[in-house]
Amino acid sequence: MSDVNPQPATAAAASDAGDQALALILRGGLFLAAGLLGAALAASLLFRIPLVGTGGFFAIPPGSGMDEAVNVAARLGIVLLGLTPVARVALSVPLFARAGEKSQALFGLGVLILLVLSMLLGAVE
Amino acid sequence: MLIPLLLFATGMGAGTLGALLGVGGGIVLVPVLSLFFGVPLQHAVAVSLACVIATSSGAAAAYVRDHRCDVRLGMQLELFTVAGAIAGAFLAPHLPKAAIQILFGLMVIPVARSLLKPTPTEDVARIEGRTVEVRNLPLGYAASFGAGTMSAVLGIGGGPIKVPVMTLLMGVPFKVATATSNFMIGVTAAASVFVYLSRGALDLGVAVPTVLGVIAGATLGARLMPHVPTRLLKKIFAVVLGVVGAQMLAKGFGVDLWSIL
Repeated sequence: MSDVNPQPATAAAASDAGDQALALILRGGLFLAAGLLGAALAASLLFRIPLVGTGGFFAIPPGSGMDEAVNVAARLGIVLLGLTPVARVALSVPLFARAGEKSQALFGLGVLILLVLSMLLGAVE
Repeated sequence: MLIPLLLFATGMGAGTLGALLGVGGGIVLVPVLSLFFGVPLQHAVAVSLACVIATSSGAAAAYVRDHRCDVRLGMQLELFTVAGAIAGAFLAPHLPKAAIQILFGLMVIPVARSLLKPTPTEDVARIEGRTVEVRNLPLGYAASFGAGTMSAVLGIGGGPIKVPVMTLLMGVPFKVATATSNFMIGVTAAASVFVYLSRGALDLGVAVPTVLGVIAGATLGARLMPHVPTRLLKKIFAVVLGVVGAQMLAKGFGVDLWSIL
């Protein structure tokens, strides 16, 4: 086990800080999503509000303001969950660039472009 | 009240297994949601995809922080996997799917046997420095592209292919490979989950408790991972691989395994 890419101490520190920032983004996104989903589930069980089965993403069920709020929170939680790994990739580009790891920054940028492309083309399922 | 609790427990089991093995947990979730909860298959797949993201983010946050996964290798392979997945999505209608399913099913046996053999890096579970020393990097890129294509063609998550590729082809220690796989799998699933969301195929009543269970399970799995012997993890992974292989063989021969069960 060895470091295949030795680097100066400052760059190494920036690199480690970058890794910790990526971990933080993943943890933060997950906790926020879990908070929204947990609140939506608790309210749904407590007040017997159905979480909408299927239907278009923006199809909020007709009902009281409370029904709407619970379903919006659940949907936001799922969207936030989905955005978390994408945000991780997006954040990695400036982080790697700042740490002097240009090739890694380019890999991140490549993944981001392909992700956007795949979503636009509806290619990935 | 009972159903959300059962969904939470199912998610927790899948999340723990996924975090330990570097797989999304779809292998557990899709059949359980379909068979035991009566969720239509397409909706079960959509919920499973949301759960892959939860497993990936939950486990990877801990693995990145603790230097257990190779962020740099993961991002390099991610590029080729996503490219392969896009290619696979477009190639799928033109490829002999049944033949590929049978081939994959047959390949599982030697791959599982090779994985079970002890390696010199068996006990390595942390990264010293920025990245692990790997061999056959260009071949690893090509295999990752192939893994992405296979995932799209066969409709399976990338973990069961990525982990053997990293371990057997590139010499990445098993635990580092599973942690790195966890880091990678959330990205492709994210792209897919938005497609399902926009089509309205994600049942929130099922997804919310299951995803919450997966988050709890993935967090638990990431904490357990350092304490679970690599030999045991490899054996469980081989079993999971065997189940995926059996599923593929059955599909290749036109048999619906789950309906038989």
